[in-house]
Amino acid sequence: MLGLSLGEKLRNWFVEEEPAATSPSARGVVTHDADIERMRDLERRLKALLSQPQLLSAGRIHMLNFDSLRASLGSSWDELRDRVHSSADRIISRQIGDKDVQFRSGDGEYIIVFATLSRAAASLVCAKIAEELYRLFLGDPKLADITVSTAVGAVDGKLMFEHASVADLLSAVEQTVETRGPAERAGGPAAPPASAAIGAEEARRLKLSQLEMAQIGTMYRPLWDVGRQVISTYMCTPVRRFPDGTSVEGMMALSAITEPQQLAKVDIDTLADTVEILDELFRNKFRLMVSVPVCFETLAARRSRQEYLAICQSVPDYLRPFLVFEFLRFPAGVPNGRMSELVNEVRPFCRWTFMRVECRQQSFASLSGTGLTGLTTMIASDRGTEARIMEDMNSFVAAAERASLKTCIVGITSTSLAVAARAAGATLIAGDRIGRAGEIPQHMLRFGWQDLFLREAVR
Amino acid sequence: MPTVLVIDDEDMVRLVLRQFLERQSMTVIEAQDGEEGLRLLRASTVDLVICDLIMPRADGIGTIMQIRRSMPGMKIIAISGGGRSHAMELLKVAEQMGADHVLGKPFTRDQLLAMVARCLPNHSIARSARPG
Repeated sequence: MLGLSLGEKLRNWFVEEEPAATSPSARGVVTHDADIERMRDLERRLKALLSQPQLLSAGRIHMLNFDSLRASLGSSWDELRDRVHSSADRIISRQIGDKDVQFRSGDGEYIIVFATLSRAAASLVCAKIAEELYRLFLGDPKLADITVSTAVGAVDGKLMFEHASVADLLSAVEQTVETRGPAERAGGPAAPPASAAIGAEEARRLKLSQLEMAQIGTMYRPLWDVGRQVISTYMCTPVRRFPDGTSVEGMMALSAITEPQQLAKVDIDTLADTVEILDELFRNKFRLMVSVPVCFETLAARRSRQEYLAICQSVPDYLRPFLVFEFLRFPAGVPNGRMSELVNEVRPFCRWTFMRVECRQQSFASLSGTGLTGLTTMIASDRGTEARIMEDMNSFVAAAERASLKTCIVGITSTSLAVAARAAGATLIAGDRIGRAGEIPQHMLRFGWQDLFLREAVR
Repeated sequence: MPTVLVIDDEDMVRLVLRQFLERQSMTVIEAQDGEEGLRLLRASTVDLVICDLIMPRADGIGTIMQIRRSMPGMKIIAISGGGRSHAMELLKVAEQMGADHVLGKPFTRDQLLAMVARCLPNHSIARSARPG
């Protein structure tokens, strides 16, 4: 049944003569002009939609509630809440049409009003949204536990909902498809509206222009194994170049990409390019390891994971000992079981798996025993912040060691940071002080402290 | 009266070293990092440098190398540690780069003064602190 807060909100949308103070744009929230205009536009669209009496009878108002996701994530919910909401926003925006309206009505609760879809089609779109979101965070969720609620009437200004499980909704569609003839399935007419809506996602995925995609490339940064005194690994890192000649690397380079499919494409291209380079170097008697970045979104979604693993499976056996995977954009608080599952997907194809984390994260206990080899972190310091960064590195390495994880610290820009990173116990370090990133990985290089200091003296 | 330059980013370490050394009739000047240390070294007459290795802005090893190049005869003691898991490894590096002696933190007053006595044999150090 509908919660009171949600009921109140929806009732406000229904009543045309409701005082303006109840509208989102008049709640005292300080927003930018564009935001205010967007909210007004949303308000106008909602009122227009809800003023049509046939909407309720047509079953176009739906509620998605992610309580079971919250329960499954347990204590991780607080850390993951923002990530869940932003992922939900993104998935919903992609699945619904331009004339449909969606808004978050509570913690993990969304209302979607479909402008044209039938009740069955709208329910199916909601089911697909829920399925995608749950898979992203839980891997293989129990679809029977996820419900889609459809508003079926209004009593005393409150909406009445009927509930259906995502499992039932999806299986109903499968049965419908099975009962249709092969010719019809192969391209016959009368595709259901829901399928049309889902199919439309293909056209919406390509939001990043080809020009923008071309600006994202890769560079290879040398990692110094401080204990063994050797540069044996090159870290492949995404680089985004701007028209003015400046660039950003690492996760910053990927921040402009919001679509998981685009991230997956970048990841797959990077893996394929890197393996080809590695193979060529191997044939030329170069023996070195290369670390390849892969985003959480790519591994978490089934379709892109399968595409990515297909490339992994084609990596020849003789190159696998030279391959390292670095997981990017993994949210803090991913459940241990889910983490193990994702790590184990790629482990057969590589020597090590590292995960990029925030330097200030103080506990990695949940990563212990997942099969992860180590953690990478990026420090950003200037001379004024070196003292604080040094303390952060101490804490970071100590926390990683408690979870039996190796550490790789990227962003070492001075000798003093290199010394402090080693004193803290870092396994691998990288940054301009160690070596600049290049277009292709170079050969393995013996590299002692003396080399590091003498190189500085020559400058 | 010999002059000792203490280079360490930790105020407490500098204070303790100052107390130890001034009680042995030595003059102590202090620097918070390698850059300041090198500046003071050029501006003063110094007999001994005690230098920490892990410091922001200008680390100790690079500082020791610069001192060794510009003042080959300068006596240098490298100190490091303080709970960092691999700090001792860096003391070996400091020795290779020109430190006369190295001392891991934490150290006792006697350990420090014994090392100072080796570097300044012409200066009288309290008997309990002399090397055995």
